[in-house]
This record gives sequence, structure tokens and C-alpha cells, in this order.
Amino acid sequence: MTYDQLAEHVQEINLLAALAGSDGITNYKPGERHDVTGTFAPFLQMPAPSRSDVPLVQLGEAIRAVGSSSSSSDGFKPGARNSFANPVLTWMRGVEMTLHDWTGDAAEAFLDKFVLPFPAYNHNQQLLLFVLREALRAEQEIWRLAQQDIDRIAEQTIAALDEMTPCPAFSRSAWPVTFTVIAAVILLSLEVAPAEITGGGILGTPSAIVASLEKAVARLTKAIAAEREKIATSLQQASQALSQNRAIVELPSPQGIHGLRCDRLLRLREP
Amino acid sequence: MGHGGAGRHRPGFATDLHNLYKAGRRDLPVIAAAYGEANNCVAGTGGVSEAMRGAEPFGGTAVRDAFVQLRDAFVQLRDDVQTILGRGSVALNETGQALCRAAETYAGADAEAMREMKLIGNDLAQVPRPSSLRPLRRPTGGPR
Repeated sequence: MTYDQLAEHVQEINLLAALAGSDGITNYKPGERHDVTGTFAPFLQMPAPSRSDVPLVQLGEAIRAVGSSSSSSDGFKPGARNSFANPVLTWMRGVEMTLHDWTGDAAEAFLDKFVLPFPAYNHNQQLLLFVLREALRAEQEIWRLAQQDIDRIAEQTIAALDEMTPCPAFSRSAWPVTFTVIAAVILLSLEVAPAEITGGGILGTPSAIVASLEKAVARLTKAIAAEREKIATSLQQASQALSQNRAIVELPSPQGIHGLRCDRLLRLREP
Repeated sequence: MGHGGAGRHRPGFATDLHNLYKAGRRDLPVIAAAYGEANNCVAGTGGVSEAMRGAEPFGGTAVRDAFVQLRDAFVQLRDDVQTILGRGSVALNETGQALCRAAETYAGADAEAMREMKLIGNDLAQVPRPSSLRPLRRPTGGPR
């Protein structure tokens, strides 16, 4: 079963729930007719994880363009995803050597406020790009895991309902165990609290199965929101750090560097 | 002041001017172009916020709030970073222009340096001037 087939499997769950709740094909027991279409509806409209592929490439290109040897993403993903440095950034070293031949307010201000701190500005800018990229990757991972989980929930529900149908062709064994698997899947994938669904005794009817399904879906929905909130918090913290430290992130303009104007010429240092 | 004013030529001064001019004309614009490219790449992620809107109906009001929170946080930081990269590109270019003006002004005030600079100018003309910098894309103007 794949996520692409989810819509079909929702219909299958509706059919199996109807079969399991009937004494034949059409005679439903009281309260045993279910439609889970609404429960699955949001998951049928989930954003595709692949939608982030192009933006991730773009952010990777941005990191490559301003990447320096002093920067890496190790602070966010230990041992992984280092970026190559862009060699042209080392040209600032040549500018520095040139400016050492000059003296005066303008030259010194230019060196002190622009050239020498450039690696620090550059490093801080790259860190922010890493935050953006990791946030996007984390969000992409949420949707990938959500697809897996909702797919497994549907699959296990079908298996459980199969066991209850009066039609021998659908018969399988040990359906309650599958719901334990559902709980484990959610727990491992999105780190939510253990599911309340346990044991098979209380799940002996289609109503109980559908109720458990709805609980699992609600738990998954809540977990998705919680994970997204974590990402949002990280982004907000990065924005806050930026607003408090903008002066060491944003390169100063020439107008902001004392004396670096055409009428305040640099002077050549004494040989 | 070593070469504090016009008319006090010393050997090698033209070379110093040349290096200053080269830093302003070539080195800084090349770095500026890298920043411009980074700015444009970040601008290219603008569709993400639109895509995030697609998740808003998911899971009811409480969950929708989490989606809006993430989208707004991403857009704000993304726009800030893009602005910083774009302004960095402009600052690098303007600083380069200031260095070129300084070198040209010195050369214009020193006949011997001017003569040497003209000779060097042929060499400078061989230096590929980064002129393919695309116009910087503006941030999307996300929520503040």
C-alpha cells in the first residue's frame, strides 16, 4: 500500500466497516454503519514532501554562493551536510593585503569595519541560511512521515476490519495486534505519547475499530502540529537572535564606514 | 602621510594605485556577485510560503494556527536573510566603487602615476569585470 492509494483505501475501509457491521451485505446492525471519509480528508490534501525539493536546492545554492571555509552546518547536523566553500570569497584576503599598503582614517576604517570582520559577517549569514534550510528539511520530513503513518493506519484498519467481515474471503488472523503496531508507528515516527489503543477485547466491533482509527488519526494530527510548532519556534528564535545582533550579521554600507568617501582619500603608508 | 597628496610621486606608487583600483574594480564586485547570486537563490524559495498555505485547512483551527505560525516564521526569517544578502551585495559593489574613485583621484593628481596607471590600465582592461550581476530580487514582504 502506498500513500497514492489512500483515497482508494478510505473507500475500502468504508466498505469493510459496512460488511463487518452487517449480518450479510446490506442488513446493518444498529450503530454499525461508518464513513471515515471525513476522518481521512485532511490527509488526502497533505502537501507533497517533494514540493520542498526545489526550494531546498535554491537554499543549497545560496549557501554555496556565500559559503566560506569558516562555516559549516555541523552545528545543526553533526557529521553531516557540510557545504563547499566558494573560492571567490577568499579574494577578500587580497583586498586586505592591498589595504595594508594604505593608511589614514579611511583605510583604517575600511579595514577595521569591513575587510577584517568580513569572515565573521559571512559566517553569521551562512548560519541563518542553514537555519532556513534545516527548517525546510524538517518540514519536508514531517509530511513524509505523515504519509507513511496515515498509510499504515489505513492498512492496519483494513486488516482489522477484514477479520470481522462475515465473508470468509476477507478473513485474516490476530487483528488486534495490528493496532499495537499503529501505536508504535506513531510513537516512533513523530514522537508522540503512546497510543491508548491496547488489547483486542475492546475492539471487537466495527465501531470500536473506527473509534480507534479516529483516535490514531487525531493523535497523528496533533503530532504534526506539535512538530511544526517546534520548527516555528526555532525559526522565531533565529529571527530574534538576528534582530538583536543585526550589526554583526549585515555588512556595513560605505556610507556607514567613517571616512570611506571620495573626498576622504586613502593615504599610502610610509615605506 | 606617505603619498599624502598630489605631485609627490614615489617609485611603485602606480602599482599601489593599481592594486587599489583592482580591489575595487574586480575583487569586491566578484564577491558582490556571489552575494547577489545568494540573494536571488533565497528569493527563489518564495513559493514555499504559498505551498505552506496549502496546509492550512489541515486538522482544524488549532492545527491551522500551528501552520500559520510556521509559515510566518519562515517567511520573516527568509525575507530578513534575503535583505541582508542583497544589501551585502550592494555594499560590496559600492565599496569597490569608492576604492576605484580613490585610486582614480590620486592618479589624476599625479602626472607620473597617471602615466603609469594608463599603462596598467591596459592590463586592467584584460581583467574580466563582473558585469553580469542580475538585479536583486526583493523580499516577499512577509508578516512582521
